[in-house]
Amino acid sequence: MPKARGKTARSRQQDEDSDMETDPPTQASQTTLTQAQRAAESLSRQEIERKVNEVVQFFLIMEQKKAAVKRADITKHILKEHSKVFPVVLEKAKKKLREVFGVSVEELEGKDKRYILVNLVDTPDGQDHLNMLDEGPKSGLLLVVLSLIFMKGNVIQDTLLWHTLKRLGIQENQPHEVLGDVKSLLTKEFTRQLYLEYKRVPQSDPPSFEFRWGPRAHKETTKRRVLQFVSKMYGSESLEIWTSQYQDVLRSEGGEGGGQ
Amino acid sequence: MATAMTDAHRMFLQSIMTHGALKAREVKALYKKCCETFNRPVEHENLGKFVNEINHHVGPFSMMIQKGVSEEDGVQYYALVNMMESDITHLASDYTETELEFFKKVLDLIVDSDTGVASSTDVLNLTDLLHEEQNRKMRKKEAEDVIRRMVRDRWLNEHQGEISLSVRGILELKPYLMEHYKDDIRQCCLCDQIALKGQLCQSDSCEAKMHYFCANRYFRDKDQPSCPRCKADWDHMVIQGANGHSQTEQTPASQSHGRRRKVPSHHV
Repeated sequence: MPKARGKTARSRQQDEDSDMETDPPTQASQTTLTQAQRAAESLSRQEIERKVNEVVQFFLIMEQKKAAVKRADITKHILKEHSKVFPVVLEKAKKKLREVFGVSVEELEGKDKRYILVNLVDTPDGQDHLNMLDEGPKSGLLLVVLSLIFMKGNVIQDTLLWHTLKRLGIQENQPHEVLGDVKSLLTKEFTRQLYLEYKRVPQSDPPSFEFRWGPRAHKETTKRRVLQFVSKMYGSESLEIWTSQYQDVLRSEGGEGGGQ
Repeated sequence: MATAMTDAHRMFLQSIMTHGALKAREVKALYKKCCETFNRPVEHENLGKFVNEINHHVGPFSMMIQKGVSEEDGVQYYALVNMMESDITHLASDYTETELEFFKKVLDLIVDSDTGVASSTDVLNLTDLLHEEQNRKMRKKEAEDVIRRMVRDRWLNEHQGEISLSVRGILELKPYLMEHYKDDIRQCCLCDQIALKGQLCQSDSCEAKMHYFCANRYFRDKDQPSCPRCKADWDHMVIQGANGHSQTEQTPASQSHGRRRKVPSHHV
C-alpha cells in the first residue's frame, strides 16, 4: 500500500479537473491544499473517488443523527493512513453534497475541526423540510426556546426559561402529552444535536444553569428570522421596534457579510 | 448525458431521506409539491423518470430509492435504500454492537416463524439467549428501548404485541436475508417478492407462500381456492390482512402484481 506521504516522484500528473485555488499557504503547521494534492496522487483516481463517496455517506449518516462530523473521525474511519488527502477529499465531497443533496458543509467554531450539513434548497414558503421544521411539535418548541434566548440577550437562565414555558403548559418535571420529557429534550437531545448549549454558570453556588444557541442553530437559522418570528407573534411587521435585538441582528449580519 | 439534479430533485430526495419510507400516495403529493415549488410542470406519469434521475445521482453513494410493497396491507411504499452491504452494518451507526446482535436474533425469530411475526414477549426473552450464547448483557428494559427505536426508524413494525419486519427493513436487508436465510426465506408465489408475513400451503410437500393481500387478490373470485403451485386445497381463506386491514388503500391498478417481478434493481 502506498503511503500517503510518498514523496513527489510521480507528481507530473496534475489533477486537471480539480478546481482548487492555490491560496498562499496559511500556516506552516497545517496541511495546505497543494500538499494534499500531492498526497492525493499517491492514491489512484478511483481510490480517491471511493473515499469521497464514503465521506459523503458518512456525512449523511451523521446528519440523520444530527451529530457533528469530526475531522478525526473521517480520518479514523475512512482515510486511515491517507490522512493527508483530507483537504482534497473534503472539497470533492462538499461539491457532491451540494450538487446532489442540496446541502452545504459548514465548519463549526472551535479548536477541533467539526462539520455539520446545512440545507441549501430554498423553499419560498420558508418551510425548511430538512432541518428544524421537520418534526412538528419538537421543532416548534425549539423555535420558541431559540426566540426566548435571543430576546433575553442571547442567554437565558434555566429557571427563567422554565418559568416562561410554564405559561405555554410546558413543565420542567412533568411529561408533556405531545413532547414527552421536555427537560431531557432541551438539556440532552437539542444539546446533543447542537441546537442548544446548556451550561452551568461559572462559580454559581448552588449551581445554576443557562441556555444559549448552539452552533447548529447559528448555521440553520439567523437572528433576523427569529426576530421576524417573534414580531409576527406580536402581530407586528416592523423589526426596528425591538431596538436592542434589531441592533444585534444588524451586527450579526455585518459580521458575516462584510469583508472579514 | 444524464439529467442534472435540480432543486426539485433535491427537495424530493431530502424529504425521502428524512422520512426513510413514504407511501406511494405521499410520494405523489411530495412530487407535486416539489414541482410546484420550483415551477416545473407536474406530470404524474413522469414520477418514475424523476425518481430514476435521482437514483442515477445517488447510485455512487450506494443509495437508491426503491419501491416496495408493505406486507401489512399491500400498500406501495418508496424507501431510500442503502445498497452498500449485504450485512446489517449500515445500521451500525445508530445501534451498538450488542443491539445489532440482538436485532439479528429478532430477525432469526421472525424468519423462523411461518407467519413473519414474533411476539414481543419472545423478542424480549432473546436477551437471555444473547447472554447464554455470546455473554452479552442486555436488560429487558434496554431491549424494549431498542425495539422502540427500531420501530421509530421504520425497520420494524409493532402491532398489538407482534413484531415484524417493515417494508423498509425488508428492502434494505434483502441481500442480508437472502444470504443468511437462503433456505428459510420464501418468495410469494404470486408477486415473487420476499414473503415473511403470509399464508403457507398446508400441503407438506409444497413450499408455496403468499402475502395476505396477494392471497386475497388471487382468491377473491375463486370458489374453490387451491394452491397455485400444487393445486392442494388452500385452507386459510379470506382472512383479511394480517392485522385485520382490508385493502382500504388501493394500489394503482397499473401496478398489477403479476407483472412486477422485480424490485427495480438496476439504474442505468
